[in-house]
Amino acid sequence: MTEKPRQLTLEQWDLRYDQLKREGLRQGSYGGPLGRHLADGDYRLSSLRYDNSSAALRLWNFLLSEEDRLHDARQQGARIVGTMKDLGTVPAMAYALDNVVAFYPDGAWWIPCVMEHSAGLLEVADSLGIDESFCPVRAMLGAFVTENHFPIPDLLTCSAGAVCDDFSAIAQRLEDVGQKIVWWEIPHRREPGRGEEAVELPGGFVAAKSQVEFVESELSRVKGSLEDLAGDVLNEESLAAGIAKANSIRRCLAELRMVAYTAERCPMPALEMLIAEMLAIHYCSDQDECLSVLEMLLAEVQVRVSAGVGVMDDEAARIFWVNPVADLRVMNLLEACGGRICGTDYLFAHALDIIPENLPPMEALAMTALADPMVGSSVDRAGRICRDVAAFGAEAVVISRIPGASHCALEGWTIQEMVGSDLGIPVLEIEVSPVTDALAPKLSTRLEALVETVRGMRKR
Amino acid sequence: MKDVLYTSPYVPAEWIAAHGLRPVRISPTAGGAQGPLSRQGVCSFVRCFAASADAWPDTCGIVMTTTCDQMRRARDVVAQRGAAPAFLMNVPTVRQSPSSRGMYLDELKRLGDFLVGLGGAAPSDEYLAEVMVSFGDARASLLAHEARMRPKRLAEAIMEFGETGRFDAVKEDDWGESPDGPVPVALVGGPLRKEDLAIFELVEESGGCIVLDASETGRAGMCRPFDRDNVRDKPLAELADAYFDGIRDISRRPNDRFYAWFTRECEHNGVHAVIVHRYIWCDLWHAEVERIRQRTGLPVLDLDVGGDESPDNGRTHTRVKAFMEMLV
Repeated sequence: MTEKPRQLTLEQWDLRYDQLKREGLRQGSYGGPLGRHLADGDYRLSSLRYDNSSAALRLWNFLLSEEDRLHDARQQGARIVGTMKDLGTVPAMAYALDNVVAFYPDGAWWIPCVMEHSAGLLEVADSLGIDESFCPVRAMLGAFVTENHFPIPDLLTCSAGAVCDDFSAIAQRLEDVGQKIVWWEIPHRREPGRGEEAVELPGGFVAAKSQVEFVESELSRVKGSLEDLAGDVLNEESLAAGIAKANSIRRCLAELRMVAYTAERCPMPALEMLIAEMLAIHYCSDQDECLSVLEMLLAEVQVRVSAGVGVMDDEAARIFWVNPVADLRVMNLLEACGGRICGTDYLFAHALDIIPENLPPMEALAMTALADPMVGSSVDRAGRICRDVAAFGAEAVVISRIPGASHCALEGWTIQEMVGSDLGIPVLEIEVSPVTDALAPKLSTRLEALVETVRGMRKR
Repeated sequence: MKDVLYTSPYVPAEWIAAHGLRPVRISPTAGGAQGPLSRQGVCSFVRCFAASADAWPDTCGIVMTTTCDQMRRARDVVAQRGAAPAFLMNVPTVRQSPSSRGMYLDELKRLGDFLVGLGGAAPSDEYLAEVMVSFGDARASLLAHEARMRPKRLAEAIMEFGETGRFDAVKEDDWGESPDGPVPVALVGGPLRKEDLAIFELVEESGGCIVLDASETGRAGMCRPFDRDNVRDKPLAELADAYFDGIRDISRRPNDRFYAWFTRECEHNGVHAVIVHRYIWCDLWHAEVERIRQRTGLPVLDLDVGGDESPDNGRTHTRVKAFMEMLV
């Protein structure tokens, strides 16, 4: 750390980049000034504020170069797997095979934000009957139809069952326009019945062993498809190695979250932490580099915490954030309003838990998939949120509704009720659309009010 | 006898009846209680169902299913209200999976445990077979009169069968010939409420006739006829197969079997237009509207309803009439 931590605009970052280059900055092949991504149509970047560390630069470049990486992988003959509605499980299997790259097509939901609607993906979804009453993940449909973003995968997998209706409907529409999908069932996680053998899952939920066995049989079907694609076998040894590698990333991320979210002064802004967490799902199409990027970010955070410095003052309200935002700018907005992220549930808490390494690999992966808070009752998810809020010492909770998402309607109420009754801290529910510029004043007012409430409660 | 309420076609009435309880597939009425189910984004059918279940006298249990995310999550709210114990039945979605059928059968057994907990008694194979034959005969009798019944009366009869398990003798005024020169219309979509049956009259008044009720409360939600040999030899397995295979459901992944059935039925019935009846915030049916248009090549009315109004309201009335005017 050579410069005081602060947040920069894109223009400021390009100046800083020149400075870092003069100081001998070392970068991977995907390195370069952030501003160059504007030429790709990523116009939202000019509205965002970024951490000024070289670790953050590397993180952003890694994220924004993913499509190039996927196209290069295709050119080099790698087999590409799109793992839909699957937050971390199938990619762990896919990366255990040589010459297979997995990515997360659902991530296209951010393209309308990052490209500020210039890519026309939502219009494509409209033309297919998937209008704005659906979740912004409908942009994924547009991405497949236009083929202007990621390469069309060689294999597409998608979980179905205990998933949100809009994604399920959108994925079915995708199949209807010609994309073959290997569907696999994820059942609603329920309480074990009387006399039923129960297992504790990673993250602490409990499920019936019969459900774990069922999911294992479903993942075995997916495994078969991956093996056919790769022309190779995923034996226990290779799966165990794949799990170990996935866990190394999860451990690094767990450490990063704990250090960053519990530090007295916020050492790393919310936007960079959001992106870091997202990497856990599919490693941004390069598992080895993903770990390296996260390790560098963790090192930066540790240095800042040791030095007692941060990007915000220590008066910032400690906020636990629920659900990912469709507009990345809202993460900056929270900080501009005096809040900082101290804990998150971005819909994939289970992708952050360690996959058991003392069990047969397929059983371990099945347990991990079933541990998804979204797969069970909203009460389960709310309970985990309450535990994490307490662990991170958050002072308030923001529930960020995703427009059109079927789970948000009732889930928000359940979470609010439980957080209010169990923890007695304020909860704010907001809705964040892909581009919130017109709503920024209203969102700011509400976030500022929440921050004021938190500060007022401190005085009591 | 105590009532077990449900609305999903995947809940076999025979199974509940065989446990000595009364299966009631309720057709909710419009409106709904306040509270979390009135939040924006909640499907209005879910709200109506929860309210109707709350108001139902003599309920000993409620069975909900995972066929849609809205119902799946609403179960927590319904259970919390405490009107009666609420059971969430996991209905498999993925057709490609050879384990799905086994999962459905296991869920029926688990439902059986729930019913025993409500005071029911686990049936013998013989008694289950007897109940299946009784329900199967009633269902067959209803469908045997299909061609001669007025469309609305048929839809009502199917609803009544769901609520009572009986199909009473057809009365004279149930018969009806289609009005002269009507436009044959298919009605498709989610479950209908009692008030929604007014659509049948609305269409007839406008020069059409609903010749195919492919809604979830109509033909799409009916199990296939039972195989009598299988009923005798392995009744529970036959019950599971008849429901699992027979119901035409857009929530399955993939849902091509629904379209194969629907397009075939449209052709068989000479359908000229389609009305898709869906609830606002029902993503599953909303996403299918354009596909229905493309697959059938027919004019389609995308009729979204809010749940708190009846089809007699101005909006629905105007839309159906305008659609039919275009066709007549």
